[in-house]
Amino acid sequence: MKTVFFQTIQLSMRIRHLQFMAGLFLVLNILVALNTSIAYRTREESFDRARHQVRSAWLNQGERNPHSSAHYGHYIFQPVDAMQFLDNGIRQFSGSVLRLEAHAQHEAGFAPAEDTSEMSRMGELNFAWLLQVLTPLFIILLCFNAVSQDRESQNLKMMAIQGISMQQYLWGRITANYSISLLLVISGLLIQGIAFALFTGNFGNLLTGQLLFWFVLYAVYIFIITTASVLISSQVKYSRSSLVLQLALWVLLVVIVPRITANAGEAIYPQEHKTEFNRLLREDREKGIDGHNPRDERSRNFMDSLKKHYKVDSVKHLPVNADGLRMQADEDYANMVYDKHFSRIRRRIQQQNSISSTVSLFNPYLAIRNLSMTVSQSDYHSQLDLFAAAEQYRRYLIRELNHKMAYGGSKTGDWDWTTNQEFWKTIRDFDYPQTSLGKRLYRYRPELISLLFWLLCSLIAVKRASTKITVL
Amino acid sequence: MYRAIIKYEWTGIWRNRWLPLAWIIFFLIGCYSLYQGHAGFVHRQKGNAAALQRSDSLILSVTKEFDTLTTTTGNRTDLEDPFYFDWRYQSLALKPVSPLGILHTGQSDVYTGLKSTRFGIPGFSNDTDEFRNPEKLLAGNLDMSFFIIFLLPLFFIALSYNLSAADRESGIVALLRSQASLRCLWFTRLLIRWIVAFSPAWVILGFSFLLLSNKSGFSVTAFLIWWGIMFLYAITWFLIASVITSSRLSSTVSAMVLTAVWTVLLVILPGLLNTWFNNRYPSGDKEEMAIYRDADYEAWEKQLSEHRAHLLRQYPKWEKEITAADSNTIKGFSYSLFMKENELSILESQRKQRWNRLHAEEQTYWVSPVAGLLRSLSSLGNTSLDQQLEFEQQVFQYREQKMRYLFENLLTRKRFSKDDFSGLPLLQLKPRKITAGKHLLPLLLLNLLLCVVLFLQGTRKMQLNA
Repeated sequence: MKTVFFQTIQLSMRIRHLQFMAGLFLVLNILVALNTSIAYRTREESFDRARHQVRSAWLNQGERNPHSSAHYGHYIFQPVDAMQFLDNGIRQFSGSVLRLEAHAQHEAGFAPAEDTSEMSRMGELNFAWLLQVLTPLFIILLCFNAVSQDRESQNLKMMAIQGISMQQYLWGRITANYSISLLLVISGLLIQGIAFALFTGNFGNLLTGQLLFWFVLYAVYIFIITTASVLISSQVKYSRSSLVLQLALWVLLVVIVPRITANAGEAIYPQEHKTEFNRLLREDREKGIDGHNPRDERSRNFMDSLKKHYKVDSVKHLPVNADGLRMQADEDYANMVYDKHFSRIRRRIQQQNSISSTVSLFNPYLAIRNLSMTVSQSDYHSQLDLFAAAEQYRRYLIRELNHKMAYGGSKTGDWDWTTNQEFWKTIRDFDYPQTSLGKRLYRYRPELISLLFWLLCSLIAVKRASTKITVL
Repeated sequence: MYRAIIKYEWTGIWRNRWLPLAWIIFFLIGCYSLYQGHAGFVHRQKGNAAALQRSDSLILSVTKEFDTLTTTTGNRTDLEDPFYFDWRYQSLALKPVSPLGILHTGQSDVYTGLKSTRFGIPGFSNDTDEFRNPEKLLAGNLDMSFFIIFLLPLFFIALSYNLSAADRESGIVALLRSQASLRCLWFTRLLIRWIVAFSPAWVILGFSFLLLSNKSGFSVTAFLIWWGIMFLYAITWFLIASVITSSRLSSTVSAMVLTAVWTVLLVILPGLLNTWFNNRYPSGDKEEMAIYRDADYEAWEKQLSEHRAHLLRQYPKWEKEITAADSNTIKGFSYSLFMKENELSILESQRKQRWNRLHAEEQTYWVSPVAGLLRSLSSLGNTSLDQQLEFEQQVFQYREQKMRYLFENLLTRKRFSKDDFSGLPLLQLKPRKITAGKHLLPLLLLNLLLCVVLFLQGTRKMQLNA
């Protein structure tokens, strides 16, 4: 096995098209590293600036009625994680700004893709993309004739005569080609790391356990591809056929299947139209208290219950500002309505994505794509985590403001009452959520199972293929 | 001789057990792509229709109220107040839809084709946007343009990579040469394979005509131009394959080179350029939204005298009316004008950024002709960025026009009558500009260059033979 290993490495180093491909891979790596590190720095700076600006505006809004402040609200921006430097995931297509205000749960808007032309649909190159899409192509060119060439040149017969077992021979080929591919990937990762350190000056952010896990996932992916490529080469009679077959598989698994599954997801689980969503939302909201309309029947009932509770005969005699409590009651009801309707929409999107997730059992590319995104926190679930945290914060913010209005010393109907500047400091700033890696990975169980399944299949297949290999 | 070659090639195709199967698979993928494009188009249309239906019902209820409104006596009712009217009269602006969107989805699933014309909410509000699945957008659309641009060349590569190399490798070149000119043989066989590879598209062309022709806004000319562009693209692949397969490369190397060309032309170059543009023209975190909100509050909290002075600067001829108007009218009008100015400055800065990117992209079509090809298709389908920017600008102008009309009326007239309501300006979108032709020049140049290379190869070979 050792002999085959070193012989394979020596031979591969001499092949000109492989030298060219490796060079191209490294050049692309450098280009991608430069681009993504500059883009990352811009995004990080922009995010920090926007976040501080919004907090500062909140703290310095001056004396204002709490409800006016509830409409003034807050903005949440798409956070930047160091791992997104390696895998940008869905960031280009997901909303970058979310407005938080009273009475309404908004959707995040301003996806970066809205500012771009159709060119943005041609993909954004990042290191993850190079590993997911281009590395398998490199591996195919490296391994397509790993065994078939030996058969064509009768070397396989020679080796059989010399007593080398086919299993050893296959493992030699696989480990050698895997080492070359992995070396290239490690070089690429080093280039990325250097660029990140140079442009952001914060290499420590990237060096986490998550990066190690991310790398392990790709190492498994590359092993699966290398093994598959060598095994196909061992089972196909001619190198030419092996190449064409492997290229066809690459196209099918990397180019065609992801599109088909994404489109099929949308076709099987069509999303509700906004008009319909708004209608259902409006109908449900109309069944609750209208916080801004004291003449509304439910509002009157609510006021009556307050009078009863405080044992007074008129709202004027209430020791609290009933407007604040009525608006909070409106919020509490509206929150249930929003939870009901938004969860339906988000569940539908998850159902659409579940097709790709299920198909990932048969397609390691889909598995690694989804796992890589979740480790980098650039997947749809990470976006949902942000929205959930933002919505919790909105509820906290509005509740605090409504309670200030109710118990802060103002009287019912006094909409000109203002609170002092110091109060704004008592409202905590939004904490961007950090979901644990374990929890994130748990959502992608099919993908994890897929990688493990393919890894196991590769190991078994090598053993089985070694018994079926034909030397002629 | 040609008949013999065609017969030989045809027999070869039928004898190959994989080829008819591959053809059927590609044909089915093509049909599915057309179906998917159609399904997406219909889904968007339904969404637009539902939104317009609701908007129409709201407009109808306002119209009915004006039909019974008495404006000869008394003060203005709630409906005559511009803000209340704006809230009730929720008209929508619909970007004209081209049925060619079925063949090429472009950015129609990212851009908003439907905009509210309310002046009380900012134009960048996403209230009318449909829900989107970012993972689906990342994966991309499976439509006819994807099928023809990405998939069919691969089928053609699989059919043609060993065209002359296989004969050489099997040692039958001398035999073939004795029967016909090698060049003629190679050319005819490549042409036949090209026809076979791209034939699924030409069959689907017929289906797509049947599907599109009954849609409103269908133009036969635009449809033929769309397919003409695809034909030009198919020719590009014929020329690429001609250059590579005539270059005495082994079949393995031919396959590698053709795949590399496909990868570079369709994946790496556009991807690299897109990454660079994202970096060069970043979208940012839209701090403008927070700035807009602050400006909104600031404008509302201005002193009445400031609002009055602001109005006088805008309408010096109505000094008398402005002086006499009540504080609500002055504040409401001036505030709305302030907000439109703020919105305009944000929209203009975003617009400038997008235009700059678009112009920069146009320069790179010479490097990545496929990006130019996609832009042409988007332009034909009315889904290009310039058309979207044009649409958004027209909607903004209309919203401002409507706001001014309502407030000018409030300032100068005692009541807002039915006639005034009838005189409310209506949105009239200008005909869209189609710029399909100029973005195809790089592709034409590429074809020309390939023809030159092919010619030079032919000359060199003839010299060698001589």
